[in-house]
Amino acid sequence: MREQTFFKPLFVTVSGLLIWAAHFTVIYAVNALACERLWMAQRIFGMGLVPFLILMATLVAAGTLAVIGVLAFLNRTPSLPDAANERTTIFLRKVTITVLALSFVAVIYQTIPAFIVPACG
Amino acid sequence: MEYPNSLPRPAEELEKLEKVWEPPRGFRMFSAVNNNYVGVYYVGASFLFFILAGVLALIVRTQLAVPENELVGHELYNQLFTMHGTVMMFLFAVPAVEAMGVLLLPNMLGARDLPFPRLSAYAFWAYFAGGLAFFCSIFFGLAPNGGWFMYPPLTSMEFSPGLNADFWLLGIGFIEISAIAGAIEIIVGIMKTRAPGMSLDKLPVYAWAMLVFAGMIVFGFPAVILATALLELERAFDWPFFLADRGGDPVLWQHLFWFFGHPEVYIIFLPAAGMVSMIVPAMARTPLVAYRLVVLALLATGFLSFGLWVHHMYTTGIPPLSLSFFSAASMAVAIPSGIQVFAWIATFAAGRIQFKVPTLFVLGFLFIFTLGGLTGVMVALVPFDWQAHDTYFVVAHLHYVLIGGMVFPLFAAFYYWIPIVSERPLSERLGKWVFWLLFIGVNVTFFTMHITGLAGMPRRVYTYPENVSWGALNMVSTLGSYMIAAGVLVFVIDMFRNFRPFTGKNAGNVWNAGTLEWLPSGNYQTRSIPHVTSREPLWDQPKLAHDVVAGRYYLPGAPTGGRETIITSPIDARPQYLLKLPGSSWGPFLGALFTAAFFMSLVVKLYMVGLALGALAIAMIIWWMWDTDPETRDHPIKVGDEVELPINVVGPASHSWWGTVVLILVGATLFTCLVFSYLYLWLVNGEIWLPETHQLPELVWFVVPTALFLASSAAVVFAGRQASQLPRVNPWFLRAAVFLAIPLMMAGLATAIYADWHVGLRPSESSYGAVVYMFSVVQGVYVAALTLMGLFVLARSLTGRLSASRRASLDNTALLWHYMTAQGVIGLTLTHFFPRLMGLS
Repeated sequence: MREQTFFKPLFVTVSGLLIWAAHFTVIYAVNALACERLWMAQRIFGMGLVPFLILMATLVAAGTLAVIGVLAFLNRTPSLPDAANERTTIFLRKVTITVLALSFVAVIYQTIPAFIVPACG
Repeated sequence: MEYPNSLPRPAEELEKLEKVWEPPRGFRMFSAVNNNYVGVYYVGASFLFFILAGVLALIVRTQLAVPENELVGHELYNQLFTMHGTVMMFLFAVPAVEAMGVLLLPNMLGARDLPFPRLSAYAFWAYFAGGLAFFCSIFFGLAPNGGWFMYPPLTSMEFSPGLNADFWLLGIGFIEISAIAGAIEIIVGIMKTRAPGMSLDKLPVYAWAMLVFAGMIVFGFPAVILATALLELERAFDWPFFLADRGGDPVLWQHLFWFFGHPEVYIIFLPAAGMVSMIVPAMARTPLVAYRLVVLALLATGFLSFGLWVHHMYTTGIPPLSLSFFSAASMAVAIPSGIQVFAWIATFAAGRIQFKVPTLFVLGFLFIFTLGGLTGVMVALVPFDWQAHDTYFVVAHLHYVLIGGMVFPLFAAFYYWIPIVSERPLSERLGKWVFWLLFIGVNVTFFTMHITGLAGMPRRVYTYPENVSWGALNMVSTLGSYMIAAGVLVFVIDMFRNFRPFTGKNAGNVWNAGTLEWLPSGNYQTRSIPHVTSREPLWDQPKLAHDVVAGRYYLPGAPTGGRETIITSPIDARPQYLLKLPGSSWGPFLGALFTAAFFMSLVVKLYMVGLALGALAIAMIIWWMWDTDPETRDHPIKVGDEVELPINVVGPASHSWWGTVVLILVGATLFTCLVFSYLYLWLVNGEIWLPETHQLPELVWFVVPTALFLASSAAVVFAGRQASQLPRVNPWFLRAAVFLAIPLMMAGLATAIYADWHVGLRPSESSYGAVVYMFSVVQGVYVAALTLMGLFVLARSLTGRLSASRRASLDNTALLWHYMTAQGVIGLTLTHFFPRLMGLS
């Protein structure tokens, strides 16, 4: 087995958490920029700029998590190349799905304050 | 199953194996590199620091026992609590869990040793020598006194003009090196040296925990390395990273520090949780419930813990919505922690518990850690934290989490695993005394502190007046702390009475546990390396121990005449090649001593002496590196009747390639933190960050260094291609390419620095100048290292140690070289184009 075949399954296994991390970074950066540069008063489609951008980021993140989740559920994500590894492949797939589910909860959870708490105080 | 080897084995096979793995005696024990020795040294040293830091805590508690006490003055008190925190976190907690990994992992994974034994030895000795020197600073009044997180501006030159802060900043440099070296060792060890058949779904939970732990070190420690470098440069050369009047920002320190500091809590907790996940099934005599969910919990905790750092900074004026993100993440991380706690409880419920000392410590851990977790959720809530911040409530919370989450599991681990390294197990009777003294002592000491904190007592005050009614609470805490000390003393007595390592014998599988570390073993670990078919092989393969000892499995001897272990593939653990391991060596020991001395010389400003010591440290490392990448053989080596493995491989399957990739991840993380610092200073201090009069260098000064870096990388690529065609091509082409790459790289750095210098930018004038030059400083470190590595490759080529199949030194140098180029180009792009993009110049 070529060594590189290791990276794809591992990457997919933790993909949920990587998406969570990317989402977290984006929403933190958006709010920091808005508050430092005084953009928080601007509005888009009747929403404040910050909640709007965070909502967009959340839709992208949650959508990506859902797509990967469906692919994993349908066994369409990268797996190990031969049947001898079936148990390992199933194990990684199940870990992938549970990681995606937990990441989905975390993404939604950290989005909620954007609609409750004022962006910059 | 079919066995890899038939019986009977040749009579001389075992004798040869024992001779090859014969441990050093007398003075030569300092040169030992294999994990059975280094692991025990490492655990012992970390426990010594636990005791030393505990003594400091006792002095602190004695000072606070009564109001208006004059036992120690405020200056010494500041040093005492700073050293207590620093030593506990940097010299005890992280090294202790890393040490347990070094000691246990090869046994547990079915390897003869970890893949870089000399690196482990170097990491240990650098930490031990440097740590002792650092600790001694308190006897000279030179210990750091700014708290274990050393916030500027308190620790800037203006308010801390002495050497105290420098001791902290440079003194933990070797600890950071040591931790990262250990993490590289552990990652590659877990991914590449598992017993055949031990695929990821059969990996012991402890190994999963250590894998996540090591990954967290790789991504967490660089932030604090950068932070300490920035603050030391500010103190030594007046580069104003944290000075607000020149465009810096003290809160930048807090971001960088806590980006390391909060994951640090989980860096300490996860290995402990991994230990518990091994102890609970053995003591409950049943497999761990919800293995897969526990693995998920470890992975999730590792990631989510990086989204918590600002919860240490709720009172710094960060916008409320930003605080809410971290508050949410702080609560979300309770989910994976809860999963693990319920899995342990369910395992206990499913099995038949042996109520022995390890079980008691696990139950104590569950109680104390859960309480710490509950107060953690409290302080994760912003409004509550605003009230409790910097009070004894926080002190109580952190001690509950750290003692519950790490110290209790560690004691459980001592009582549980000592039978595999000692001729005798520890005493059940004394162990119960240790447990109850510690358990009652911890709760008496720290539960009381919650109330003390809610009553308003701030942390880090050396005394308090009589009329605030904190006296009785503090006296109770002090009595509890002496009870903890009594518990530790009983443990030390137990160790003196029963701990007998290095005798060649061990107490054996006293708990009837199911994992590989309980196989009969010698200094070479197991006689033969088993084929694993389940998570608890000793339970599921009843004849395993007998067959392993008989030599029926892989590698029952030492076919190359030296130390070896089997390298396997990362997911499904198929044998890939045979790794030749080094024997005892003085290089790591001496290299480590010189490294520690180098850092200490910098602290006391003996720069020329430091330079000489640094050169000696490098010389020692080169000496030990010289015999790596051994000569390959034309024929593969037999590790079983029908199983043959090559001795060496090149490229991504090689363990050294993996080590280099992990090192690059460390570098990339540090560089990312520097980019964050640049952008952060622009964001918060945009008005004065870039002086209005400053002219950016013309774009030609971006093009020239970029071209030079790329050209140096191209030369290295050419060298690699030549190497793969040896001996058909003239080796002087390869040598010329490497020799040319070095000055090209140096010229790239020199032109990058000159570009900023010639337009009048100076690092001490503004934070902008400081952070721009910092890119060159970081790049300079790589240029210096790669110059040495390039010369090393040349020397190996000139001495006939470089060929198409023996090229790890060139391949790994090339990997790092290309990373340096990428980093240089990204840095240049940012510093040249970002200000233009923002219309700043």
